[in-house]
Parts: sequence; C-alpha cells; structure tokens
Amino acid sequence: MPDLIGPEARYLAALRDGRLTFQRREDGGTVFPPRLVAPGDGAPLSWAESAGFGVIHSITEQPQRPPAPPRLLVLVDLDEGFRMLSHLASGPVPSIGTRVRALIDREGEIPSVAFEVVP
Amino acid sequence: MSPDHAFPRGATAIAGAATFGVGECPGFTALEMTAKAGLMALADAGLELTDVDALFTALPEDILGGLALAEHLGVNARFVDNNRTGGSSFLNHLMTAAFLIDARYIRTALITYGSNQRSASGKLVSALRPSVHEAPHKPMMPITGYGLSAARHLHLYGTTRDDLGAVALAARGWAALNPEAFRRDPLTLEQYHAARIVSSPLGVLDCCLVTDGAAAVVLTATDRARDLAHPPVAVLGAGTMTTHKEIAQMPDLTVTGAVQSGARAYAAAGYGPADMDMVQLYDAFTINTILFLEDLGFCPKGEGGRFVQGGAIAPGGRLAVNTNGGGLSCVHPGMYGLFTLVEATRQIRGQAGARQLAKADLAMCHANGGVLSSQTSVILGALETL
Repeated sequence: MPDLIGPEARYLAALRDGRLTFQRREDGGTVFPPRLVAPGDGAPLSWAESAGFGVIHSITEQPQRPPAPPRLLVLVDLDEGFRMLSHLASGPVPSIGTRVRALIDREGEIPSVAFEVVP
Repeated sequence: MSPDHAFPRGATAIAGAATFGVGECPGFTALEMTAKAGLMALADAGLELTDVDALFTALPEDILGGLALAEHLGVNARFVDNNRTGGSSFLNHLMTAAFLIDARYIRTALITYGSNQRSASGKLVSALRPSVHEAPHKPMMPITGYGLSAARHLHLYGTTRDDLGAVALAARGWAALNPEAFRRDPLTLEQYHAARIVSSPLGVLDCCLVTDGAAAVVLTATDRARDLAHPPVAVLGAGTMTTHKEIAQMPDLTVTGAVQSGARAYAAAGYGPADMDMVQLYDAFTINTILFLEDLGFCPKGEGGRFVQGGAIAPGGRLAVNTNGGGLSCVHPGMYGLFTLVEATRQIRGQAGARQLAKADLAMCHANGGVLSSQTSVILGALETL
C-alpha cells in the first residue's frame, strides 16, 4: 500500500512519537532530510531509526542580551551518517568532535531534536 | 565540446552601469530605487528606455518584482526574468541575458536592483525561509550558516580571527579611497577584535553592512556597444553552481560551488586566475572572501587566511579584491551581487578615481546566494581581451 502522506509528514509523525528517523539507500548510503527518492539518481529509499548519537561537526556561539545565556547552534554528524542543524543546551562551549546525543522535543509546534554533550 | 564553451564569449558587453542611493536613501521605495538605477545606467550607455526589451530584477520583498518593474517603467519587454538565487541572482540574470542577446531574441537587457532596507527597517532583509528542520532551533540566518562554515575553516586549516580581520581591514582600506562608500573611517585590528561577537567566530565587523543602495547594468551585443557612449566591457565567460539550500546540506562547509562556477567561467573565457587584474566578490562575511579566493583558484584550499595577511588584498597589495570596499565597507542593501559588475565596469573603463588600478583589463566577478548555496562567476574584460 502506498504511503498516504509525504516523507516530511511521516518523519514529523515519527518524531512526535519519540523516534528520530532517516532514510537509507539499498547501497547503505543515508539520506536526510527525508525525500521521495534518493537525491541525484532517484534510487528507492527505506526508513530507519537513528540511535541518536553523533559528534559535533561545527559549532557557533551566539551571545544574547543578558541575562539570557549564549545560544549554541551546531551541526551534528549522526553515527548513521547524516547531518542535522540543531542546538545545544547552554553551557560551556564544546569543541568540534565532541560526542553528543539527541534529545527529542515532542511538545513544540514542530517536534524537533536538540542535543546534549554525552557525559 | 564542453557546454562551458557554448557560452557566447565576448558576444555581449556591459554598455551602461550605475549606482544610486548608496548608503542611505530615505524617501524612496525599493522599486523606485531599482527604476532610478536602471534609468541612470541607460543614460550612462547613451540609450533610451524605449531601447529596453528585456528586464531582469529581484526586489527585496516583492517576489513578483519583475512585474512591478515592467509596470513602473512601462517597458514592453519581450522577456522578464525574476529569477531569485539570493545575492547571486543578478549574475545569473546576466548569464541568461547574454544567451538571449547572442540568439538575437532580445537586444537590450536592463539588469537592475535596489533596496531601502536600512531606511525602511534597519535590518537585513533576507529571503531565506527555514525548513521544519531548521525553524525550531531559531537559527539567526544567514549568519549562523556562515559562522558554522567559518568555525570549521578555523578548525581544519588553522585560519585565525586575525586572518578574518585582515579581510575587514582590506575592505575598509579600499572604501577609504571610494567617496561612494558608506564606511570610510579607518579600522584597526584592535577595533576589529574589540567588536561584539555575533555568531562565533564572526563579530560585527565580520558582517556586511546594512545599507540602502541600487545598482544596474545595461547589457547589449558587443558590436552594438562599440557605437555607444563608453568602450564596451565584454562578458567573456560565466558559470554557476548550486550545491544546497540549507547549511546542514552543504557537501563540505569549507568548499563552495565557486570551484565549479569559477572553472566554468574560466573555461568559457579562456583565461585563468593568474590573468585576473582584480576580483570583485560578494563578501557578505569575511569568511566569504577567504573561501572564494581559495575556490576561484587564487590560492590553495585552506591557505586563504594566510593569503590575505599583510595587506595582500588591500590597496597596494598583490591582488586587488573588492576595490569599492565591498559589502563589508561600501554598500550592502541585502543582495550585493550586482555591485560586483558595476565596480568591475568602472575599473575596466578607468573611471575608478583614487582607487583606479594601474592595470584593469580583466575582472573576476563572483556572487553568492543563500548560505554559500548558489555561486555564480562572471569574467569581464576590456575589448583588448577579446
């Protein structure tokens, strides 16, 4: 039976359920954000669930007007091989390469994935 | 034959160029500024509004701005192009116009743009709209994207804030020679380091200005331009590349599509980086200048920070970069790309006053759109370079 919803809605529904999903090509390559077919060659895709662990690929600190703490925006490379833009809870600024894990926020208007440093 | 060689090398030329309202232009709408720059570029070429048969524009907030401009000017255009790729839009317009003129479908293309963002809102007007993947994180775009790229460049290649600062100082040095530039007061490295950080490693002085401003060029067949008011500035080559829209999807945060857009433009023109007398590039942030100098072949990947040190791209340096002061110190109304073409035209014509280069025959003009997403390169040359 064909999907009745598009890949973005399916991804968001899974996230709302507490699962971070991505897509895989038959040759093992990963695709994110979700698409109808693999970008570039149109190969078929299947869904998979991420364990939510990865490393910081890049990080930028954005000071705020006090007393608000600085915001930390990151690109995270998930272990399964895809990259997400996200943010870290405020605190010391970790360096590129630091190990992080996903925190799924199911409550927002759009469910989303923040990260925290793995202790 | 590579498709790059299908570009109509030298068949078209910039016959007119103008800027209007650079800095602050209260009392004018963006559309009026766009129209005014266009009329000034036509007058500069010695052409009339009735000569225009194709319009190219991208207005800051009106996604159907091409229609508004056609109505405002009353031009019975055979072709209207409202293509939006961010700040690179206007170089893409020039590519399209060159093909259409060479095909004899149109004769006179007016490429024009204006924005009153400083007077109207005081903020950068950006067309970027976040996806569901970005929006919940409230990233300040575009600077977050450039901050992430710059942080990675520092990490991988040992580029420093002193290197980024050298870009800012060079731009200010050129601006001091340009009476049109918005920020001409001297800038020191100490002042650079003291400036507030916005998105590390980028601070306020790593960011382009927020100004008003309009620019326009008139493109026509080179043979026709020979009979007009100024010597033609020939379009020798052009190329474009889009690698992504959102920063998370950029294939490599430190390598831009300028690698491909530049290679395409060089192949079409039959010239390489060593032949260029100047580079006019879209310096939305200081890291852009470093990335584009690398990706356009002026230094190896990773060496851009060291390349710009010691005044190398400032007045009197080894490579003239952004001789008007660029988006960092001259003008940045939101989409800077078209100003690269106007400044190169002024240099090649010998109209650049105190900042005039001794040799100014070949120019690499390069513009960026989105968050390092769209890259377009155009090579302009004096008639002798044809």
